[in-house]
Amino acid sequence: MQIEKKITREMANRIFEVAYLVMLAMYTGFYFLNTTTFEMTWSTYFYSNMRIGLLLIIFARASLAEEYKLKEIAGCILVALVLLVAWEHNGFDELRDIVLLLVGAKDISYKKILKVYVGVVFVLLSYTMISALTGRIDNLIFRQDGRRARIAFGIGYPTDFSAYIFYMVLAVCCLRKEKIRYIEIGMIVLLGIFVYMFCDARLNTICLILVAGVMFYHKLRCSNAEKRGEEYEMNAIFSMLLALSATIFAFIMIGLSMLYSTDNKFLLLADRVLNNRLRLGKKGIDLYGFSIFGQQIPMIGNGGSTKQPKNYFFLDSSYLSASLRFGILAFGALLLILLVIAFRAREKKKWTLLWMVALMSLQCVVEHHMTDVSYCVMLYLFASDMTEVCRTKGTIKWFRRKKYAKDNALN
Amino acid sequence: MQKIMRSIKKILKQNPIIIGCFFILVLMGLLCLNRFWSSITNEESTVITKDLERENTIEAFEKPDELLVYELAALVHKDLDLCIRGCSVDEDWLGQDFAGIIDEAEEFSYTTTIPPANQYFEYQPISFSEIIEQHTMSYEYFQNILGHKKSVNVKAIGIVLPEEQNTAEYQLYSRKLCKTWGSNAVCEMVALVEADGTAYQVSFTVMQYGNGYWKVFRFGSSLLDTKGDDFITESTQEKFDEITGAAKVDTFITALEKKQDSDKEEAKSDKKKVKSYKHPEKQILSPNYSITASLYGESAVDTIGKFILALQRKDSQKAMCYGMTDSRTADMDSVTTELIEKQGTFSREMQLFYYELVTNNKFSETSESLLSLNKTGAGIASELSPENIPYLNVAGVVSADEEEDDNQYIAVYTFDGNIYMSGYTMCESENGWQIESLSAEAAGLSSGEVRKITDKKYHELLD
Repeated sequence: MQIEKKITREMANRIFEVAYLVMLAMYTGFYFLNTTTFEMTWSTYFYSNMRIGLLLIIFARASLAEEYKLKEIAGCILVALVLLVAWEHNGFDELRDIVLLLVGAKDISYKKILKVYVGVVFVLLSYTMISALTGRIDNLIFRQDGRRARIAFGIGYPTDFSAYIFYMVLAVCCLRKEKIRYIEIGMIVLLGIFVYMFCDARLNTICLILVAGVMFYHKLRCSNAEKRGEEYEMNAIFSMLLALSATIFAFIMIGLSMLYSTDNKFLLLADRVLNNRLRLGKKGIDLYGFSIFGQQIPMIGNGGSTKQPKNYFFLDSSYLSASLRFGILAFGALLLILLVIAFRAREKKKWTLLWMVALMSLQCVVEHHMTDVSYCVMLYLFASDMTEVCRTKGTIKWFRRKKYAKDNALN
Repeated sequence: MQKIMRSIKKILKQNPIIIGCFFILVLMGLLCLNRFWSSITNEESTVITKDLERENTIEAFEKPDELLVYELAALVHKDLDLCIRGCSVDEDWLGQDFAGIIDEAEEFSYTTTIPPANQYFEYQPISFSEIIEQHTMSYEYFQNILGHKKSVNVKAIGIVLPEEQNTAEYQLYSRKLCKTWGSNAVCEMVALVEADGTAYQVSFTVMQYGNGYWKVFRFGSSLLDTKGDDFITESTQEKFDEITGAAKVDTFITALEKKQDSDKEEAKSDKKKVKSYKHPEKQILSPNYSITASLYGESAVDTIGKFILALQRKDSQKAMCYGMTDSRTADMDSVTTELIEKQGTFSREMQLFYYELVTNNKFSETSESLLSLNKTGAGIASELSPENIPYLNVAGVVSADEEEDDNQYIAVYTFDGNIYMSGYTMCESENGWQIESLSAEAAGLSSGEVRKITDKKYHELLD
């Protein structure tokens, strides 16, 4: 009996899906390691080869697609066009990388994407922490006036470390959803306390505690609905507000920064609460102004070294950083990405995902990681498959079945 | 109308994402509006007077004697604009070898030379203003000596001590000068001028730049030991002949250019024909300078804030506009010496302000030897880099003397890990507020001074 050596479309799809996930892991790992104190020396063409690989996977997956939904294709093209044009003008490579990872994730289960992210970051973060604590790499400890010692655990800056914890927790919560146990919620609170005690990352601590609070509330509501024999349904207006959270926060943060003045007591207080983010945002707007396609803005931050820089200018808020650096068009595209993810989650009643996107949008008010490749896994869910079927185990079984059938045929 | 509202509601219910898209478009629209508003409210920082509007008839003079005929005609006709057009301005700040000048002098002070504008473009308006102020002072000197005369005629133009200029020693000196100022050749020349029956010699140092055009580098001649403020002396035909000898200008310049070509590795095989003009005094050269506009703030504090913001934006030209006190440049017919002197004075204060801030008060207006400073010219040049000025933070602006309402203010800054203060004397006019001087006598702060202060003083001033 002759064995057919053809690869079916389904097989090829699955192969390239796995290939994409491997590339996602590599990209996440690459960018993650660049934020650590490991002395990384990448080979000259490593990054560009990764990019070429991802591009080929995208082309292959596109050519194997069985159907094309006009709305989805149009959305992807629009977002990709805007971000790539902006990248051409302003030179920020993360825009290009986001486009590749976002388009490449089309129709891949969002759960697989989040699992890969959690797996990679968890392993690398653990290894980085152990290496830092055992002295294999620099464990930067920052001592700033009026604050306790802040430990970075092998990452460039303590708040960057705490942000990894936050984004990992977000991804885990999206995967666990209402099945999350109370003990896991307790662990999130403990993580919040941990980052407060050791990193003095106050804002990320608040965000982690908020995540715990939201998951507790959501679990409670879901179990109450289950007891009544119903499926939990979030209030329509409230879910709409959550879906619009990124846009709302962008309005608030940019608006407050533009209006910031030392004569206004309320804004002074808000600025103190936000650790000078309004003042620095206002300075960025005054000095550089908004542009259509973005511009290079030299920034000096505290990361990478325990030595206090003589001059400090850093746009911590993602909304200000993105709008000033990437330009108005790219900023609009990024908000659109978050909007689409949130509305898709709302439409498919993925309330946990909706909450997590809203919390991420809140965290972006104070942190600049919205477009950092090793953090912004949520952005890649733009065109992902949001159905509940996660075929990871199914994929392995499927390959095993095919192999079994092949072996049988040979025998 | 109700039908429309109903269908809109239906669409929104089916596609609620439209609401989000709408808000994003509104936000983007507001940002675009902000950008557009910034661009239309961005006032011009230079003005074109009626003088400067005059179109040039020629690009440049390729013969130095014709240049001097033009220059002297401008001086005689009291045309400051045409006079400056004949002088090197851009050539000076672009070609200046700042480090070389410092190394040569073996000492440095804030006033040793114009700022290194070719290295740091923030200094360009300052260097520019100082250069044209220098030429204006020479113009003023000419007017003081000969301006009141009824008739002034140019009798002859010659080369100063041509044999001396051909010596190896002078050749070495001239080569150094050319290297320092980025020119091809230098020549010292003198004109014999008769004014109301009395003969005067007016000396110049001219330089050749680029593809062979000449400009007046300085008024005065080192060989005659005259400078910008004494380059006119009484003379006679005999004295003039003695100084210039029998050398013809054309022959001397041709020989000078040949010498310059022979020094180059590739000699010019096809020497282009030198353009000559019959009536150089009737020509108009292209404008090579600009006049700083006057900008105002709504209040003293607002003006200081705008001044600092302009510096942070690396737009020192705009910053200078807030110091052009009530100069009314917009409707002026001709450029005046007062205007240029005002520009020059404020630009010097700004130079001091920059230097004190970026060097952390390391140097001073008093010359110090490079040995004691333990620096080379290049080292000093790199210390003067204003690249960190955008990181300057204004901590507050307070009145220098609250009891006396004398419009003097102190601004407190944090910069480069230190705290500084500097003074501002403000003046109010019908158009608004401007900076009269970067000083506050009431607080003991002199012009351009930026003083480092302690935390205690900082809290004293701002609390």
